[in-house]
Amino acid sequence: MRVRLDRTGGFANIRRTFTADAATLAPERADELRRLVEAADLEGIASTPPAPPRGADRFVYTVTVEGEGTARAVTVGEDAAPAALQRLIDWLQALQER
Amino acid sequence: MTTAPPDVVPVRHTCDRSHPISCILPPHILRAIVERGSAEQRAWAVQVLAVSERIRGRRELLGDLATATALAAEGKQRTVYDAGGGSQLPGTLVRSEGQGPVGDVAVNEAYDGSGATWDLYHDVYSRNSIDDRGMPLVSTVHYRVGFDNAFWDGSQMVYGDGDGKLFERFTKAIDVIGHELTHGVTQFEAGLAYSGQSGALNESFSDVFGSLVKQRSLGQTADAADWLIGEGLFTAAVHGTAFRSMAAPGTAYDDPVIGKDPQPADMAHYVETADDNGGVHINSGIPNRAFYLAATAIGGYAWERAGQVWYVTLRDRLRPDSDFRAAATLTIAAAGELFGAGSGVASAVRAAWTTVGVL
Repeated sequence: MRVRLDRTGGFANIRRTFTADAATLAPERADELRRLVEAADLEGIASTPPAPPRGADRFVYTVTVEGEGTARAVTVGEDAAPAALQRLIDWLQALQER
Repeated sequence: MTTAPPDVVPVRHTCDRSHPISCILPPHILRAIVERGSAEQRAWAVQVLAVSERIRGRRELLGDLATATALAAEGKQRTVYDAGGGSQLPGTLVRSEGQGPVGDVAVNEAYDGSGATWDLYHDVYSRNSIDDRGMPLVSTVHYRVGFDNAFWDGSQMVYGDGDGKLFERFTKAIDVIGHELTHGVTQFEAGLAYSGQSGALNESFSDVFGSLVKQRSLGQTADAADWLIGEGLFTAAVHGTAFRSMAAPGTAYDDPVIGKDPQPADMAHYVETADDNGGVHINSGIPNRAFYLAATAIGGYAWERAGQVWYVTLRDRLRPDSDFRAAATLTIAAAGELFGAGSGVASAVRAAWTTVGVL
């Protein structure tokens, strides 16, 4: 399972990409990733472009999951990301920091 | 609810702290606090309204809040909160209007920067805060951990600390603070819809007045200003001077990790994209450069004549769905009314929009 986060928008609008591949992660991290993806329930999130945010300069996140029977991409505004998806987004960004 | 009401008796009678939603007071009580309370009590009442708005998912309260606040507010009413790395807004109150500096540079930058922005709007454009009715300026710093952003949430300003690897704290650049507050002004005036060309105009007006806050704080004329947005927010690891350049869009950074500044400098290079709410931070380069060209052609302090034209256009002329062409014709008309149709100001504004290919 490969998971990719593209972060655009925000004040600076500098595109940042964060990726994780269950095949190359340590087994416990790979399990963590699968659990987060399952909890985020991407099938339950509309794949239509996000509505303009309330306010301005919010991030826009696109999360793409491929492999292990899944192929799904969703784009959400930072202010409208469901909590479980936000946890996956935070995890993917933190993974790169480690 | 994280903020305690400062000496407001009715709250103590009606608020059950084990049930936060029951702490939300009816508007007439909040209005009384706003009318008769101290600056600190007013700021607290504003926060209660903002929180209740989020809980109820209601938007109309903000207008109510703005009206109520206008009844009593005089002068700047700043409050700065600390989110402590969390995402709950506004966080813990750490500095209120009139209090001296604290030991946290981000708090002091948010306080001073929002003050300089309030001063520009008040002293130059006779505007009484974000809503022109004395709305308090609420800022939150240390939002989330390593958060690479600053934003306006519809009611307040929010600043991250940056990851420290690519980005510094977002309060460090005063134009960022002016930019965020101007999103509030736009929300109460033109209401430019945040996507496509109207969204790029929304972004551009924030960059224009953000830059003017910086120029005025430094006492710079148009030809002495750097016209950069977010200068100093990149760490030394990044090949770049700022996030955007109003004078030369597309040249602010070019770095192996974060890529190259994607802003176009004219309509021939307009970018069609679904990212970033339809490229609102990308195509803003075109109207940004138009302002730069007009201001430098006019000369002197940019906030005086060019800034006046843009301010009147934002306040009185633009509509939520206005596009670049509308902004061009309306700024030219405003310049004509303010300075004369045959004036150098009006011709400079027209020439600027022509150069960037909008006309």
